[in-house]
Order: sequence, then C-alpha cells, then structure tokens
Amino acid sequence: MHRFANPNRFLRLARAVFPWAVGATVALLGTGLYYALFASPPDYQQGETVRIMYVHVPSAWMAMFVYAAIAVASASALIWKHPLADIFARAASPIGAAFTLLALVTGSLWGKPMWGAWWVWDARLTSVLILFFLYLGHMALLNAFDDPARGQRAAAILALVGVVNLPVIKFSVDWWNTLHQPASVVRMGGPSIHPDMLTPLLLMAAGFTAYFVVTVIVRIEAEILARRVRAHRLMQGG
Amino acid sequence: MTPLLTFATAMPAYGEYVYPAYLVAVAVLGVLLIASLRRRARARREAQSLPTRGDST
Repeated sequence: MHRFANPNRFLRLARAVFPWAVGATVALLGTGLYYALFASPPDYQQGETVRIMYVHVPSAWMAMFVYAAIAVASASALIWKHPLADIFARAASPIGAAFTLLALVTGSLWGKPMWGAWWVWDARLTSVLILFFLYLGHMALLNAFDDPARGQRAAAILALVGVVNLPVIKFSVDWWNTLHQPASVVRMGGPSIHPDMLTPLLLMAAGFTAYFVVTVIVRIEAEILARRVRAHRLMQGG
Repeated sequence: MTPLLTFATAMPAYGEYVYPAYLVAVAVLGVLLIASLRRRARARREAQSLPTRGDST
C-alpha cells in the first residue's frame, strides 16, 4: 500500500488502468443491460417488475462496499497517515452516496408495485437511509473546517464509527421481521436465485464496480491536482 | 429523433416502474461521472497554468 503513497506513482498507475476500466465498464454494463432488459425471464410471482433488481441490488452492494472501502482508507489515514487514503475517502464519498440514493429510489420504485407502498419504516430500509445520512455527514465534515486536515480527521472518525451500520444493514432481514426479502445471493448454502437471473445480476454488479473504479480514478486525479495548485498558491502567498 | 422514437416503441412493455428505475440509474451515475470529468478538466487546466520548476515568474 505504501508503495503508492507517492501521488505521482499512483497517477502513473491510474492512467494505465483507466482505459481498461472504461472498456470494462462499457462492456459489462452493455452486456448486463442486454441481459437485464431482454434476455432474462420474468419472475413467476413478480412478473417483469423483477427487472428492477438488476439495478437495485448492485447499487445496494456498491453502497456498502464503498462505505467499507472508505472506512479502511480512513483507518489507514488515521493510523499510518497514508497520504492517498484521505484523498481516496474524499473521492469515493460522493460515489457511495450516489449508489445509496440509487438503492433507495429504485427500492422505492420496486416496493410500490410489490408491497403497495413507496416507503416503510422497515429495518433494512431505515438502516440504508442511515447509511445515506452517514455519507452526507462524511462529505459535510470534509468541507466543514477552514483547516482541511481537521475536516479529514473528523470525517475519518465518522466513517469508522459508521461501520457499525454495515452488519446492521446486512443482517437486518434476519434479525427483525421485515417486508424486505432475505438474502438470495450472498448466503449460507449458495445463491437461491436461478442462473438466468444471477447472470445479469452479477454482470451489472461487475459493471457498477468498474464504473466505481473509473469515477474514483477521475476524482482522485482531480483532487491530487487541486491540492498541488492549493499548495503552490499557499507558497506564493506565504 | 425518429430512430430514438423507433427504439422507444420497440422496447417491451414492462409496466410503469421498470424503466423509471433504469432512467434514474442512468441519470444519477451519468451526472456524477460528468461532474467528476469536469472537475478533473478544471484541475488539469489550473495545474498546467502553474509555473514550472526553475521558472522565476
């Protein structure tokens, strides 16, 4: 990890990975959308509405994955003062918030025809809403102080405290009575979902992951360059 | 416009909730990607305008 603490070295690697990540995003999302909208069958109970799953579930997975990655980066920044960890956390936070918002909105669009309600104060939905607020709080704290280092420290602590919400989200469907269906892919005993539906789901999840890599590389590069400009202006001013 | 309309009318009818979910996904992820690219382009412009090392100005 510390090999990439040098921003120039990281930028060289990121610029080499970037075109491959763009290609993977286009290919995976293109194939995934084809399977999701045309090649996968309707569900025997939910009918065509099941197709919302192919955007809702990958969004929810990414919302949790990105938060976990931010927490690891925050721990790395607090303990080892890794210079890129703070930059990664700042770059990834809006992307995670976007995935969480997407999970909430698509879940609502799925909930209306299936449950008859846009929203219920159910354990799974409420814990994901809390995750969205954690992302908003993280972004707000990053920009809340005149001294960016203090903002990064406060945001890192919030990210670490908020990790407790991740197992709550994952196991909420097992711990409490809920309208939300239990896990059908990441579960003991293997996936209970038919391969015809599992294929587009995994393709879309891989596509969302590739999209995350593309966007986070773009945002990290922007942040490194912005810090370089800021440092130069401070030197000029001082 | 016509190819778009032809494509839209050729899409299977999935009820009133499926396509809005996909459109929201495209909108949210698209806006975030465009905003990130614009941010990087601005940062690159500003970084290029910095004097290079050894430049006395």
